[in-house]
Amino acid sequence: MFTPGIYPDLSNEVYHQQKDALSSSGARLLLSKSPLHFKVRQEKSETNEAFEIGTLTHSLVLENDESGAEVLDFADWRTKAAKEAAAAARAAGKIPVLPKQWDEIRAMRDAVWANEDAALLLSGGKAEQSVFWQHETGAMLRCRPDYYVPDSPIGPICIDLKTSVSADPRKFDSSASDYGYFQQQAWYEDGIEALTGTRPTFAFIVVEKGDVPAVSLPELDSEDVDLARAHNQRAIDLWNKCRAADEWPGYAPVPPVRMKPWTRTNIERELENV
Amino acid sequence: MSEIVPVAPIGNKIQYAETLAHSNLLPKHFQNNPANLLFAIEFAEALGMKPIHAITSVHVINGKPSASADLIGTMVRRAGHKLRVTGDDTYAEATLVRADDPDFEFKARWDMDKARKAGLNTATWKAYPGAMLRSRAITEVCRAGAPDALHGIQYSTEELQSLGERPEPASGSAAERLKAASQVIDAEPANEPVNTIPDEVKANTEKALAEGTIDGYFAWLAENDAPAHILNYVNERMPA
Repeated sequence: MFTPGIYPDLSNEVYHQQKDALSSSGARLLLSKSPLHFKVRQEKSETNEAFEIGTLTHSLVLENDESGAEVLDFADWRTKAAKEAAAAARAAGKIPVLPKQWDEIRAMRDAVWANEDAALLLSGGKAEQSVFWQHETGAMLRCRPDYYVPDSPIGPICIDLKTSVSADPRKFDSSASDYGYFQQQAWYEDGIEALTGTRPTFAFIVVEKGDVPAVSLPELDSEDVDLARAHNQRAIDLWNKCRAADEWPGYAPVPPVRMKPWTRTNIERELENV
Repeated sequence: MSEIVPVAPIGNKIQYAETLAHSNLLPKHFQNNPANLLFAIEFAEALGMKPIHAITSVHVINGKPSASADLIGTMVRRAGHKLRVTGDDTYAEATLVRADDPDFEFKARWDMDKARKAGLNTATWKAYPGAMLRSRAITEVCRAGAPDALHGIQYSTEELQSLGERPEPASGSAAERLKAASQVIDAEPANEPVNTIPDEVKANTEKALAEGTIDGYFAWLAENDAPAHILNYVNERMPA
């Protein structure tokens, strides 16, 4: 297990193996699903194509590192030749990518770096550093900021890169709520603050997938982030409890289930009309 | 209980300020600055306190008079109001009861969470949380409950300085704040007196002009990589 600190050069793989420290996504899964979901997901490391493309995008946008990709000249992965080439690339430790996907990722990189504010934030730091700290309950926690600037003129900055079907900041509330970005921001802020004594500035850089690589830098309301902070606390308490007993229950029981209001209304109307 | 401070004629005050300005025991911003000193003396008079008291505890920041939180508390108490402060290193609570409205309590409470939200996680706050919380609670409750006793002093020196420490309010976006902060840093070297012309250059220019060797002096400066503003200075004085 890692002692509290910021580890600049830990590989993604080693970071994800640290099951004795709770991550932000783990905390979100504990509450949004159940401890059982958390336990099962934790035991199998999942890799799918979307995850691979995300990894490539991050390397390209944040580090301008193209070395992880193997561009294979196929229209799609449906042919036998394409499948074999992809498997060979994976066996060699590379991520297979189609030319059209590769062009899209490169366009996203160029769009982010053409954005003055994004380029300013992405300077003076380092991508993918691993952060471990101890919570007051004794629990070890971790996070891995996409990009971390330790000593900017406004103090530490933690940047999270999101690729999305829409970078429209007016629609960011939905994805931020659905995917738990409020919890994520609170989690990362707490981690950096625990280690450095200063709460970092947290910034999202959202870049749009598809043919228009628009970029936006939406910010979350600080009171809502504080609310999510309290939610994180519940997740940590739950994790501590499950670990102490080594019991990972599924969904918690609820009071007797009520009808959805519109179903009730429909039935009531029908009964009245009899 | 207010002390009676005799009001001195202005001529005497100017002389007093000019004499006092030479003292190296004064706070730095008053040393050799009789005008500011005179302001402080006038201010002390308005507050009914001794000049030396105002000089050591009243600071003018960006044209706004400020005082220590303790002095603010003293002024409020001297006006006849009751002020009580409780707390420790984690919180401070100040309660003010006005002399003319004894049934109502003004309250202000500060804890570290509130300080953090206000962006006050500086070294001083970390080293002396109790004292800083206490100061904030006192000034807040005095502003709310007894502004009439403060004679224009709205904020404590520490409050105004903490505002000055942050060039942009935290409400700006991360990129905006970073840009603003970077500009402050970039601008700092410009504060150096880079544009002053050394007396030696001035004297040499005069001498060279009188002797008709100004062209040679200019060439010599240029050869020796003199800074642009010095070359400009000499060039402007060369006959056409």
